Amino acid sequence: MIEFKEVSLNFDGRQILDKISFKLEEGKSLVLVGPSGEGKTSILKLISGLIKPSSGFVYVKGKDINQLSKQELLSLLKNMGMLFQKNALFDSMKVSQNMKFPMLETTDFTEEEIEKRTRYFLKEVGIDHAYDLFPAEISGGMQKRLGIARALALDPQVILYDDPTAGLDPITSRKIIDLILQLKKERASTLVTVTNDMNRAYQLADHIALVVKGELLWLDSVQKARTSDDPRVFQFLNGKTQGPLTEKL
Amino acid sequence: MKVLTNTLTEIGGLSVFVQELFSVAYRKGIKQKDVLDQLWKVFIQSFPTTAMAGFFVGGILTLQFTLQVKTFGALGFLGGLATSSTVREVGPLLIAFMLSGKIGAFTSAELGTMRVTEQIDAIRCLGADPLQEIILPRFLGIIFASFFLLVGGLFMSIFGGMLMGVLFSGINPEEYIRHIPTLVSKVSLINSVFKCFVFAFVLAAICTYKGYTASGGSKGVGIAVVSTSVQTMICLVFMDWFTSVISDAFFTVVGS
Ligand SMILES: Nc1ncnc2c1ncn2[C@@H]1O[C@H](COP(=O)(O)OP(=O)(O)OP(=O)(O)O)[C@@H](O)[C@H]1O
Ligand SMILES: [Mg+2]
Repeated sequence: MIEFKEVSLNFDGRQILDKISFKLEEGKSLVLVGPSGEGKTSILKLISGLIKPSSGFVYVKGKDINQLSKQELLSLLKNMGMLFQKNALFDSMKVSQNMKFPMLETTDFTEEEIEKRTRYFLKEVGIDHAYDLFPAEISGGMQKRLGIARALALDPQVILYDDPTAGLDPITSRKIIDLILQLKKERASTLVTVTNDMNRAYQLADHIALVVKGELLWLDSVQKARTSDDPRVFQFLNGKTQGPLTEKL
Repeated sequence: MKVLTNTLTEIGGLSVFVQELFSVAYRKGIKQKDVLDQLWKVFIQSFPTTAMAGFFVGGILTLQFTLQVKTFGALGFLGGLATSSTVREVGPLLIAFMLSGKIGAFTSAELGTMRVTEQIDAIRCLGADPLQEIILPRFLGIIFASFFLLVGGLFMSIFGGMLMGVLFSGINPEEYIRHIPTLVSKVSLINSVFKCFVFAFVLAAICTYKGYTASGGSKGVGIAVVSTSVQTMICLVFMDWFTSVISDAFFTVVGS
């Protein structure tokens, strides 16, 4: 479903990712963990074609997304939902319009259908009472949940979640993960999630990967991650301040 | 040297952007409702200020000319002189300057904020084309609205000139109007309307381009807004000269 082949990424001559490769099967859930600023968000943006790799290839559904025409890319993106780390809500639109926008613009759903789906998703994430408010008028956690609902609006096959539980209390964040999992089961969607909340990561992951110092360490399963004898993984999962990750180069 | 390359890069980027907009409009069509919404919004937002600016531009020129025509005892030509210089040069340019501060700054700040808060990326990730969804309606809306505003402003300037003339120069309205057709030829009217259209295009293209390509947080939005005003003004002055040259050339060839 999603494949990276020797993908490197540079920003202003600084190398962020160094020839990373991995392959995620359809219907599986990958969780990316790793220290701040090491390229997790960048990997999601590479998958959705928002940024281009400096070298290497990104395949989604077998297609090199950087070779697609603009039109092909847009129709591929219709099948992909993304929750941005900072939500990227449309701040001049009400909560309900944020939900309706993608359906109005890219589907031929009838107005009733759109209304019904909007209400359904807002209810699922528990913000149906905010229907008529603007994003600036709802709390940070509610904005996050609206971001999730909007990403799901088009029933995407691939969903990219950037930090879905940041700033949420443990109960809500558990609920959100339950919802994500339930939807994944119903729709057999493929997930890539960035989170540093390790409990949620374990709950969510079929595969875990640690993104660190330009590398992507594929840890396969939760079990393998926990028992890995790689000192970097051990240090990260146990939150030690001393170890290979914090050594000065 | 660096200035030259920068300028060329900017012009190149802008041309590619405009060309892209046209191709989006051609391939996917135009959302007429959104265009009309924008047109109306921009028009309403700026009409009072434009009308006022037009009024005073006309008024000031009339007062200026009063001194000169009086020395020659040619008060009868006041209306014609003032109107011709407002309509041909000063009016469109001054009103367009004002619009660049209003519409241009507003639009580049709005789009720039959408860019740096990733709203534009979000539109794309939802499978919609941001150029078609938000840029094209603004681009076209601003072109039409500014065109109407400029032309409306010119009418206001004629009116303002007349009112000032009547109030302060001791000329009656009839006299004021009598020589307007003598001094304002059809050619210069066409020229002036053409100029308004070119100015409207310049206004719309630069602010949407600058907003769309903003980057780097609130500072980036600030930079986008500032360079929108600066570049729009430079471009307006240049286009003012350029349209005069080509319309002169055109009417010499056609032989008016
Ligand atoms: N547009 C950009 N221009 C320049 N550098 C960038 C840009 N976007 C990201 N970077 C750099 O790339 C690196 C990786 O950023 P990224 O956002 O992927 O980190 P992250 O792993 O998601 O971090 P966090 O967990 O804090 O969200 C950072 O060092 C950042 O400074
Ligand atoms: Mg990030």
